[in-house]
Amino acid sequence: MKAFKKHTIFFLFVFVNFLYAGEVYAVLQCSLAASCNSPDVVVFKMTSSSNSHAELPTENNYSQYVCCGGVNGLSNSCADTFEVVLRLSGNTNAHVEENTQTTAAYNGNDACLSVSSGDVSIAYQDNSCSGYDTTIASISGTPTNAHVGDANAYTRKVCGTATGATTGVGSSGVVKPLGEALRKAILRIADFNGDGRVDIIDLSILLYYTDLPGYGFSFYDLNQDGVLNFSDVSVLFFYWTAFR
Amino acid sequence: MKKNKKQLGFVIVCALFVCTPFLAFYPNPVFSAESTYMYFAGGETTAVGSVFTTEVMIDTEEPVNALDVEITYPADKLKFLRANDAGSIVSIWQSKPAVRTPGTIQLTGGMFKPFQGKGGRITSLSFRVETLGEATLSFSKHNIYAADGKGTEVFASSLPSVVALVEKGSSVPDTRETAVAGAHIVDDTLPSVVMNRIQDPITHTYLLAFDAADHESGIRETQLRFKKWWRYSPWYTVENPVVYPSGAWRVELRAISNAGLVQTASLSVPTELYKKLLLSALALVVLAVLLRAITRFYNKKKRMT
Repeated sequence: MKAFKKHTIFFLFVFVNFLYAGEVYAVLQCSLAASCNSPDVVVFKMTSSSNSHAELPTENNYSQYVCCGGVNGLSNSCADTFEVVLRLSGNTNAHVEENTQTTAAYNGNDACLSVSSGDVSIAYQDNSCSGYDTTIASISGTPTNAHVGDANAYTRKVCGTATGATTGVGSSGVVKPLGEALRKAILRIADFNGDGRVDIIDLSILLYYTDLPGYGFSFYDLNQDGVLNFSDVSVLFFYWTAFR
Repeated sequence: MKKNKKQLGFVIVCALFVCTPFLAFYPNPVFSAESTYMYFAGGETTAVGSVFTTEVMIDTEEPVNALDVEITYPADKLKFLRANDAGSIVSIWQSKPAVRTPGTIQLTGGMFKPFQGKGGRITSLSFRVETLGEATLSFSKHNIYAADGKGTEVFASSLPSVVALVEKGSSVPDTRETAVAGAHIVDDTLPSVVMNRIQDPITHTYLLAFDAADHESGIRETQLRFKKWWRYSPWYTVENPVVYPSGAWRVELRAISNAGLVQTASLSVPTELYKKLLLSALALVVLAVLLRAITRFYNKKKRMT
């Protein structure tokens, strides 16, 4: 009978898991490691997991890497949509400060996280990173001239959240290269001025007719719902993104 | 000499006579050089460590309905903090104001109602001053399109803005405290959100098309979450349009204004919900059959012993 109970519990567990299958959502994940698994990115490097100096990912003096991943289009460049994770006092052998600080000696040595499309946010909280995806690191003091450590080393936590690309052609939300046939089909309906592109000129033309009720609906009504409104503009934006 | 003068006069008269029709019918640019201006308003002298806000403005004599603008600023002296579209003439953004490369802010949008006149506010940009000196904000691109149904680009000129960055504690007021997003904005109206699930006619991709607006304080962020089964995904930031999450039967979109007010819109797809209910029921049946088989197995074993 004991074994029966065991089996029942096991199958209930399987059932509950089934219900929640596929509900693991992409979130930013960071950890300290000796190397980063592809496609994770190195945010910065440290000498050890606590009481450490830091260096930029481009330097090669330290063996402990702060690796982040789990989000589409994540990068450590300070471009696109980016946030400064920590400001460093130099390229290497550096102290760190929070990104709200403006110490002149720390200018130009930023450790960043960025996404090609989406959003990144960084914050500094005491004790935990509640409300954020992950604890990227921790720092010894606040808000400047600090040493760094892994997520557990200090009470002052460096917290991060990131979301990746969400628009474009394809159900996965990732922009896929357009085939020639698809390209031609899109141009046929959305390239209003016939210049071989879907861009701001087509937007201007569509908006003009959106403001003229009763005119040319069938031609400019991209989603064919009988109304010219923001939905048609959204379809145009979708094609515009796909053409980039 | 007199003859030469006469000949010269004759040549000039002839030249004028020949050229006049060309001058008269020479295609004029869509507008004169003075007809469309882009400029900055506000933010002239600011102390280091403070936040200043400048408005991106347009004056135009001709109705316009789309703009593609790039603004450059010295990234070593200023840190871009946020943009605010409260009261903007832009009604739909293709690309909200954001830093694309360090020192460059790009924005692209359109207007359902064309704008014509003076003082059209496009957006406001807030920067924190990092170092002393002088910062020039300028337009590296300002493509403005006429609301004429042809997408004609209008001739526009722009004026840069020079901001003096001075020592903290000088006569310039420190705006650090008052510049927190939404802190000084009186806004007691919830943002408005409209959301549609649409399908594009070529790739047949389902899209969520939405329009969020707040005329008092502006929209700070739009976020989406969805349910594929019984639990919501975390909220994530989206811009219109977003690909409808595959397999989701419910989505919620929330618009957060700069004053912190939140408006949520939701949408359900019954066919997806029925699919999930059916699969859950099927899983229950499979579980019941398995449990029954196990019970029988143990009963048989018991009988045998």
